[in-house]
Amino acid sequence: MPGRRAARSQSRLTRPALGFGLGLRADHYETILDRRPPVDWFEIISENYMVGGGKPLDYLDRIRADYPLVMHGVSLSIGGSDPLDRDYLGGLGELARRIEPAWISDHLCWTSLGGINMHDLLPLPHTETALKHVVDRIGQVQDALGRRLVIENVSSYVSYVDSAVPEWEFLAEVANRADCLILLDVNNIYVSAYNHEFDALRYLDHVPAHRVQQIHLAGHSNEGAYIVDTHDHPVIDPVFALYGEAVRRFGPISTMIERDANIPPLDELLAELDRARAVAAAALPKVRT
Amino acid sequence: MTGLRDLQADFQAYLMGRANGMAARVRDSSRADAATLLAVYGDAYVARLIEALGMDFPVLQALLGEVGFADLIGAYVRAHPSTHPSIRWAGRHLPGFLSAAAPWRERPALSELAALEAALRDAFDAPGGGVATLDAIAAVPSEAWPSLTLALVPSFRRLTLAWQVHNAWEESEEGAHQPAEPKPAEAAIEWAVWRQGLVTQYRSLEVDEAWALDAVAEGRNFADLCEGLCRWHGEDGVAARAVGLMQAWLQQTMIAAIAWDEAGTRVWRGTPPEL
Repeated sequence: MPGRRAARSQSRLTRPALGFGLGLRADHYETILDRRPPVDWFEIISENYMVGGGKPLDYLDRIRADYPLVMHGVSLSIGGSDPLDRDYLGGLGELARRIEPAWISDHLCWTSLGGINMHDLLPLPHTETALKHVVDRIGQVQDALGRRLVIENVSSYVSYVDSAVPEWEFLAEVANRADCLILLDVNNIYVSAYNHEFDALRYLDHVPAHRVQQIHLAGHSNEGAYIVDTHDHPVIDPVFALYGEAVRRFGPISTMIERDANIPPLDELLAELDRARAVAAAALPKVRT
Repeated sequence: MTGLRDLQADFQAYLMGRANGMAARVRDSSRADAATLLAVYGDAYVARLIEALGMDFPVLQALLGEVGFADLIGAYVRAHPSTHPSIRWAGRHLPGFLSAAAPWRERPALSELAALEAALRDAFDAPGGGVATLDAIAAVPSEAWPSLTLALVPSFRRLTLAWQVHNAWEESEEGAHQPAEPKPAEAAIEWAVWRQGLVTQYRSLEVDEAWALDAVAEGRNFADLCEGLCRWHGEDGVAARAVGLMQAWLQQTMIAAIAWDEAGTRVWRGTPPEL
């Protein structure tokens, strides 16, 4: 038995699962502090709290007293061609020391060039050059932060002529070579599968299970010719179905719902989170058998 | 790397509105051509900045209306693309842009309104830290008073505004959908903006108080303040005015620390700034 346990912990590289969480949004600060809702953890947008002080950090500290937190950044530009922004990394480290997050994530994308930030999660070409570049930079970030980075697949609307391999191969190769972890955004897989006409299940089949630290769920906007990852609607049924498939493959992964616009009362998100719990519970026995 | 950088440079140039051959670098899907798909990013670039800056400059947005604000931000981000990783800082050049760029410079109230909103936004999430309390000055020995200096809290901002832009702010706070165009003030209005605990405060200042706060910000001591306040007050009343101002600033949590010279050393009370 000890041997089996050791083998299991060797295979899975992730930190212990936190359960079911939500993105922490200012609209809900007071409700969270008043009611201490049954949310297992919250994910914060790191940049929103990389400030001097005031309400954002005050609320964050008080909520941290009651809930585990994870940090999710949007500006690391891990695939960018500028040198890594050491000031930004320093700020990230400072925030991490303050709130002791369970992990720190950002996106497999680029966001800035020539010192100009586009404030968007722009896709990378799936080339060997981009792969080596990203792997090297993840290594630098992991050295700076002293922990494994968790890297998220983004929604994308274009695919490059230059791309030589499908996204899932690129993601898996980045994670394996950089020895980092994966934040699997199931909605982003759904969105990109629609936009680039690939099979979402095939994507899941190629994700290295032992590196999946977290799952994102979110809503989107279907414009017909393409889907945009807007985070302004509830999670749709097919995304929940895909989530069930992910849980069947990867087990009980920390899961959270992102909502960034058209933000409803907290109770609506709690109900949506209960649905995620139910989907995961239904999928999990199949994993155990 | 060169190939990756070239691709990113082309993409960025496309987003920033410079027509180029980016569409040739991406694939059509069966539902949409490359140009349509690229436009998802192209449209989002300015839209995202309009949304973010609308949250930082809500009264300016209300005054200009949705279309007018979108036109402004479109021009602004062409002149001042964001150079900070956080979108929170994307609007830091907006007051200066409004005062320099046509047609907005023809309405000087716009730049002043943006400066007021920027100061309020800056105070909102500026570093906090402790404040000096009123009883701190009771500890100052009488012979040390001339050397007394004050350190303002990090959230403190000073503004001098020639237009009554605070009326637009207050109308908006009271729920006005579109505030009235601000009118010129009879004389420039001096303002202080700071944070009291977690609550952002602003108030107008008498002209002597504004001068004194600027002198405090420059590190001038109590003796300097008294000398400078003689412009507005007689010799017999000037010390009382200086003390009265200090007491008000301490009560209103504008002061992080006070310091004076005593027996050859500098004595601090409150939360000294990092030296």
